[in-house]
Amino acid sequence: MPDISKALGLGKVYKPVSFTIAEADRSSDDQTPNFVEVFKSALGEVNSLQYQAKQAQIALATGADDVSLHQVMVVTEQARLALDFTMAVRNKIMDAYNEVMRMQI
Amino acid sequence: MRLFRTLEHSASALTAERFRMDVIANNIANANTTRTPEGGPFQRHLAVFASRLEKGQPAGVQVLGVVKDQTPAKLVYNPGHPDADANGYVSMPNVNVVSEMVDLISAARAYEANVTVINEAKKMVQTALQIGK
Repeated sequence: MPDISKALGLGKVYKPVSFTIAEADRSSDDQTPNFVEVFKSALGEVNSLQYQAKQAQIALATGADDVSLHQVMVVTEQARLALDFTMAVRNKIMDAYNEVMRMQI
Repeated sequence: MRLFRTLEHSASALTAERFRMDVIANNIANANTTRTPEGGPFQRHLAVFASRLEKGQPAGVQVLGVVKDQTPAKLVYNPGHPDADANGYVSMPNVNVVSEMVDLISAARAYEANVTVINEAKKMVQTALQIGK
């Protein structure tokens, strides 16, 4: 059904990513941030969400005027989802590492 | 994070509905108030909402403020009332408690609907984390 996928703009959105090993190797010497930096900044973001959630909970518990219950709940849920996501990434990395370690040479 | 945009939009709606609930509660509380600092009986308040834009993108709802219902006050014949005029009529607030109750339920249901959206958005993220498990 070419018409439907065209109407939905599928071809436009999901362009196949062309990615070669030569391109991946270059990341070490040019300006592309490497994996450790990306992971560190993502962890920092997750940490700041946890911190925000905690601050909101403290503000609610101590009776601050500008914090309502649903805001605290939403921020807490955001922090939880971010942590879940981090754990998913971490598990994937550990799986990949274990896979490599089991490799027979 | 882009992941949480839905949550933020729904959270703004929760804040707005909460505010509407506050306004309705105030209206019902003052349904029989005949004296206000501005003089005259209490006038019904209405919350005004506006859609919010952030960098040209829709980003939930915001409370613009509160306006007063300009419907004239109800005149009730009650000569014994301290605020009765020379003919014995008292200007009572233009609050109709029945319609306030309807608004109250509508605000509560709208709040509920937004909580449902939040829960579904959360489930969506959690389902996405199940990919490849």
